[in-house]
Amino acid sequence: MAKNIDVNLINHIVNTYSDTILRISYQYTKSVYDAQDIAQDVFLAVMQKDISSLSEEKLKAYIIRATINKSNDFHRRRTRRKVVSLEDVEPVFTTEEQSVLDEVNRLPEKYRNVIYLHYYEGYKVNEIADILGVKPSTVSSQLNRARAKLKDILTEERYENI
Amino acid sequence: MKTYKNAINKIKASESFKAQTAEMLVCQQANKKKFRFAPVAAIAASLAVVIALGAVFFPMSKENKSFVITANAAELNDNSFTTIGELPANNWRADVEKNEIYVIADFTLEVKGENIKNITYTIDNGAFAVPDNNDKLILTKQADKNVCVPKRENKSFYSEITAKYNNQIDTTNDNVEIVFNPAKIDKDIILIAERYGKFADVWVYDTEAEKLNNYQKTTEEFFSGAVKDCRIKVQAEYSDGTIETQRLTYNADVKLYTEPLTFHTKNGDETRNVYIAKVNLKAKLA
Repeated sequence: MAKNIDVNLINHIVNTYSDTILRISYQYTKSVYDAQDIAQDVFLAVMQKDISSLSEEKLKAYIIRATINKSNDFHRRRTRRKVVSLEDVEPVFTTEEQSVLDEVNRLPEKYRNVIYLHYYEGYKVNEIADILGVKPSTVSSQLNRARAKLKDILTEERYENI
Repeated sequence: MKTYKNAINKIKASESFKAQTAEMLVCQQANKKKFRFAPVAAIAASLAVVIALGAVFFPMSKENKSFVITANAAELNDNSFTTIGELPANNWRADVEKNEIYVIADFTLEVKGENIKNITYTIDNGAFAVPDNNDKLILTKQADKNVCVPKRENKSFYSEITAKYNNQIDTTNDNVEIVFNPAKIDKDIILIAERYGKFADVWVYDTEAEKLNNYQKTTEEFFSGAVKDCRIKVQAEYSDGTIETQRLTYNADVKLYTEPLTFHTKNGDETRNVYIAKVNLKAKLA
């Protein structure tokens, strides 16, 4: 009997979540190639689970958590994918963008993640708490401390425009 | 946070990365095997034949061995390699820059004998991965820092572990793994890892005979190269305080087989034959 592979599901997951995974893991690795390595590990882990019953919201939360865990465990290695496409180049940031990213990346890892989830993904404090498996008060305090640190580091004008 | 968002927006997955990743996931789904292997009827039947023939032509000198070692219910002998299970074909890593390779398999060893109190396993060119919440094993020696091991959540790595004979490691419940490392990484084996990776990416679509022969040969060279240097010393401590030791060595071979797969695409269902590599892990007493 033939096995069934749901190519549509695979394409949907890869197309929907690749950017999110890369954005989180890039902040750990600072390298597109290594971030892609982590992304493929995350997808492999996701496909090992029975995801058919998960809502998109729960699936995304699971993927974010898995990406943070895999990024924390990251060490330089090669996977079976050897060819790097010409499209897979490092992103080109403006001086200002690079400067802001550098400052955010200097924050402790937990602060960086809440900054990303709140300001880029648009999650509320309770939602971030659910994703990361911590208390909402922890998320609030991490966000406040992150903002305070960024305010200390950046000039007032740059902080307003961050 | 406008500048921050603009910067993050520039981090995107390319279309080629997405296509390659989707293809990899399709291959993985096609080749998915249970990580915890149990002897299926075909393997058990062939093992019975091997052991029976072995007993006729190469009788084990049991008078010199007080205990026997089994792996996945197959009794090991010192005359020939016994297939003890299947290696998940994607449970390996090669780091070209660090010259490191590892392959992982479930720990399935068991000792059978009389008046045995404890069994100690010691590994060279590898490590045992043990869950941190283990309360069964006595963990006598941590793995050397130079050993190449995967990152495993909630597990630590040891070069020596001891189990009580009456409470041995359970394959299903204890989640202990063996990590195999080659003793020395030749440039050739790293090149093989790269070639194997390349074949694994394209095998679904490739039916040319020459490439298939290369795929089988390449896969076998890689896996056998990765496991062959690993040695496990099995030491049984008896109730009277005496100790007996046996040693294991490993190998791997690869069989290619075809299987029909149905792909559900937006243009409808399409069935193709794909070629899948089955990696058999083997062991014998050294």
